[in-house]
Amino acid sequence: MILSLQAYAPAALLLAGGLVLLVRPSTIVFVLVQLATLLALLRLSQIATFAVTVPLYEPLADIPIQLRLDRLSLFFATSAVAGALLVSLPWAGRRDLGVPLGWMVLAEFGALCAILSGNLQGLAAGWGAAVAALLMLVILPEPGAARLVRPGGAATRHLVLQLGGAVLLTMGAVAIEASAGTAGYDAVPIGAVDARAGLLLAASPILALATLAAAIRACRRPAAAAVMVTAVTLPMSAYVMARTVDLAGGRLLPTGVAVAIAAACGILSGVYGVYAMWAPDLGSAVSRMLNALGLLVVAAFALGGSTGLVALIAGYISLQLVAGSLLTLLHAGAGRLPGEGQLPRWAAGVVALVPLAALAGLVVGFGLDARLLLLRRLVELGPIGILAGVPLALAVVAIAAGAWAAARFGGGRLDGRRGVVQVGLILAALVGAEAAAPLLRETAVSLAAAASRVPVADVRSSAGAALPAGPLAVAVLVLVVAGLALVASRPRAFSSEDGLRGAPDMLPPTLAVVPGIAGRRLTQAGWARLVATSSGSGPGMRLFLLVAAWAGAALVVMLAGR
Amino acid sequence: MSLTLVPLVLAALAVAAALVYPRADRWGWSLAPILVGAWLAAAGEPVAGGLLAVGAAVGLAVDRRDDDVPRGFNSIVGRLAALGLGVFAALVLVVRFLALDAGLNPEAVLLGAIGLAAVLHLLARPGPTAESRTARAFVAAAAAAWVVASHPGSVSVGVISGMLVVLSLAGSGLAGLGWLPQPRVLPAGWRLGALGVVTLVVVLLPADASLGPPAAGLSLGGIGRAAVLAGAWTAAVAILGGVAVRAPSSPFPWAVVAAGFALAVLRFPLAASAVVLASAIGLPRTAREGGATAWSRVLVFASLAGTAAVAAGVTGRVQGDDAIATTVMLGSLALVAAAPFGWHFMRWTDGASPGLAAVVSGAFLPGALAALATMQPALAAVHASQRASIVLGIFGGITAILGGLYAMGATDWRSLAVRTTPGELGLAMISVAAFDTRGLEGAALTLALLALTRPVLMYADVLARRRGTGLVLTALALLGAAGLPPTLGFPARVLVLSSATRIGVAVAALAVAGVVLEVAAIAMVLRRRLARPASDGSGGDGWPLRALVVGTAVALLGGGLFPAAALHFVFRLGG
Repeated sequence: MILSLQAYAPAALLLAGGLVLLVRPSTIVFVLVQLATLLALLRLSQIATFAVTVPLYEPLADIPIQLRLDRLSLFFATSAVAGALLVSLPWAGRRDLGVPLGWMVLAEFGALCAILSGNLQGLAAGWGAAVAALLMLVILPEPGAARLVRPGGAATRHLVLQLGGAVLLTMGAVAIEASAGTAGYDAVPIGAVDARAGLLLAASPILALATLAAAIRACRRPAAAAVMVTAVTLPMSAYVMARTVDLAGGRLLPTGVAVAIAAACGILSGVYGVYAMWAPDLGSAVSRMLNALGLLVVAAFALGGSTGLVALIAGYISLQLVAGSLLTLLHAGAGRLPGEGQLPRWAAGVVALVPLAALAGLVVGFGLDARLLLLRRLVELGPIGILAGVPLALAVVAIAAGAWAAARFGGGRLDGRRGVVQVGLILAALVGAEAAAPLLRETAVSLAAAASRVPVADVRSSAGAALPAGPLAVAVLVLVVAGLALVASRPRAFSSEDGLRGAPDMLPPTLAVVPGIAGRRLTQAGWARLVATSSGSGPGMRLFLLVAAWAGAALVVMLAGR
Repeated sequence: MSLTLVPLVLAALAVAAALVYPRADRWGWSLAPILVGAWLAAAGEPVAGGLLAVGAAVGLAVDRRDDDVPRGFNSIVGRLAALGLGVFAALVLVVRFLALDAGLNPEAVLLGAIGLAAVLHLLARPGPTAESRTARAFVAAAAAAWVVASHPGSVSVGVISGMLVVLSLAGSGLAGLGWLPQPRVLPAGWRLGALGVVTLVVVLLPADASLGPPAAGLSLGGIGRAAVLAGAWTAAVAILGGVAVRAPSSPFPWAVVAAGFALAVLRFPLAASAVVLASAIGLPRTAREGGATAWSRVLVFASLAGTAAVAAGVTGRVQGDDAIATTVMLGSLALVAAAPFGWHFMRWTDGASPGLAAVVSGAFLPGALAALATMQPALAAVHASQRASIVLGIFGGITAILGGLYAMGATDWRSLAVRTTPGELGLAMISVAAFDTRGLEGAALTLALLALTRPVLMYADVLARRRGTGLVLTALALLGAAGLPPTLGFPARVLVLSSATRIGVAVAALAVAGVVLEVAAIAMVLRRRLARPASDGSGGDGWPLRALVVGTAVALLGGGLFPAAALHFVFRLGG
């Protein structure tokens, strides 16, 4: 079969599958589409041994749509579809999952187009298509519904950020095209992607990772969130950041800016980690901790360099695995961690504790690797880096504390044997992938080396061997899991109803709830006032517009004066 | 001083007399354009001058009702004329005598004038026409500042531009010009049908040069064709939407459609002025909201400014290059509802019927934007193209931002469609301001997007209740308005942002901010009003709705996936 047809196959499969699922939702079709797409991508990985650009068509003059098959894009594309297959495999055979399968596959299609695109406009178009599918998923969860659904506050905020992020990405693409004269990855010179253009490109993924909690809320159901996060948001965001670093030749931001962003991410991540300890339910706790992990990935991107890039890739895989497993547990346990019901005590404990341990970075694998690499990169940057490392180190501790606190949400009931299979599959995948971390790390090192234009040996040397390799890694992992099983088997240490001993109470303290309520009321009052003034012709709106015009004019003068 | 300037001086005196003696205001306001007409005739443009003079005389004859000019209008105009002249004089002093830095660019002065006018407005006593006063003060200050700053050493340029500003202010009182009788003798159904047919004929006639010599003479290419197509589509949606909700609008929308087409088709700003003046009379009669009167006066101002500028450009450069460019742009900006003129437009469309609002925003304004695009060669020829590009881009950007801010207050679909229209026009203006082919393509696609999405959103309260077809149509329109693929919105946004980048960093920043505000407004409306039931529960169904769904979906998706084909149709086949 000719290469171009094989190159189009994954996206075509997802597009066709998405349209079919819009008309006739079926979980088995969903799983089969994922499987077929994964096979097509694996086949592509075999035959595309070097970078290949495959043109599709030219929608606008000098702006072609083309696919670029290289190791970076194929790695992220394959991991995205594999993640979707993993979290959806247990669904096969269920009739009504209550999630909009068609929009999810179309969002995946957009993500795949963005990842496999050969130029920046295609990247922006793919990202926009994924955001469009997300928008439809939120307002039209069932294509045959009687009316559009009104999104909640968090979902609306997330939509605003995603729509705005798509605009910024498009702006970054056209800005680079204007300065470089081209937007094709093969032709953009390294100097054309400076810090400003790079940040424009990376703004969307940064926004996406920094608002993961809102994304999960927007999806409404944990099952839908599992697919959207593991197969769309995370791979697309991590890829765009990695590609931006690649286009910039490995180093994007000046050291001061990079360290400042990393420190800010560390602070925010710590806040999310601490905030998770007061979550009112497991869904909130999980989404806040995933948000905290997403911010660590952003920190790795900001720090740049080959070590930072390896940390980014490791952090992405870790986040993908943890998000997939925890959201699946959330779905299987109907909002709580699986309890004893169909499982023996020790097994229920392992099922609940291993994903939380992976989230906390305590399991030997990608999570731990990403954290160590992040700190190593900060040390490389000298005293200023070490200073910025303080909030990041505190964030790591806060996330671990949040994971400990989340263990209090026990007592979930699995859906019979199907539920047992579901959590068993996801747990096996998690442990297996973590065990294979040292092997996959080589892939991350080679990808980082190619993107940062540094020899592989140098990257391997600078990144260091943080993890035990081979049988030793498996042995350590088995020991960790066995230790967790031992803890779980002791009634005094772990109760399937109340979780770990010492974890916070089931309900958040009043002190933690009151500021949130007050903030929400203030925000609502502010919006109501803005709407009232903007919909009328009172002096308030005129004053607002005139002051805005004045501020805009002053900004323009300042910019024009530079 | 040249003798050719005498009529202009006399015109200024007539205006001054109208300001000082309110009883003679009608004569003063009317005498001024007659004198300008005389000046045009003396300057070698007798037809234009004669048309203007005759129009003013006719207007004087028919404008017998006192209610055309609100009570106290002259005193307000007088106060603001004094304000504008004061700002103008201050700037002259600053530029000529304070030895400013030579690197000070005119745009900075222009923007300073905007801020100054805004502050003065804040200090002024609020009244029923406060926005109108601000707009005029803004025009006076901006035009004078830019012209004077561009020619700090030329007294004549300053004097002439000041006169033009005063004349523009004076023009706001000439609402009686260009009055055209509406066909009231026909029954409503006949009027609707007959004007629909006329509209379609006007659309089809210039559609393609291959239709023969008569059509070739009027055939259009480029953005003019885009405007025509956008108008045709909007007219169709308004007709079908009116049928779908069983509430046909008055015949005036179709007259406005025809006017918009004529504006684009004729490609002659002097003729366009008559169309605009007719609309300025007609618009207040179709809606009882307060904004209509103010908006019609802005249209009158735009018409006169555009007429004077283009005529002056034709008649041997009596004015300076920058003065021509300034007035051409200001007239055009007022036509396309640019900030701050858009304030009136938004107020008016907020209260107008959906059909009329759809037609005006989808047909009339694109036509006006097409007229602006056709003036590009004139702007480029006056050696001010670069500055014109920046100023036009900044105007477009500010319009987009103010439109976006205003859209944040939208409370339902219809309100969203109305309030995002000026922002969209601002983006199209940015694209036009790039003064190149790709910029025109971006503007054409933006106009097409406007025509495809906004009318649908205006009828969304009815459409969104329909399971399947109507719902999908509304969702598609939403995606298009948000500029998301695979709809036409995405290539339009790419081209607009690309144009903004070519103009400069500041314009690019303004464009991005405008687009982000617009999409934020769309998301906010999703949160507020999606669950609202339809107003009457009697939404129609059948072929009009299906035709809307199929046509809009095909156009939005087809244009989004194959924008080059759409642009080829727009730019190559027209002639």
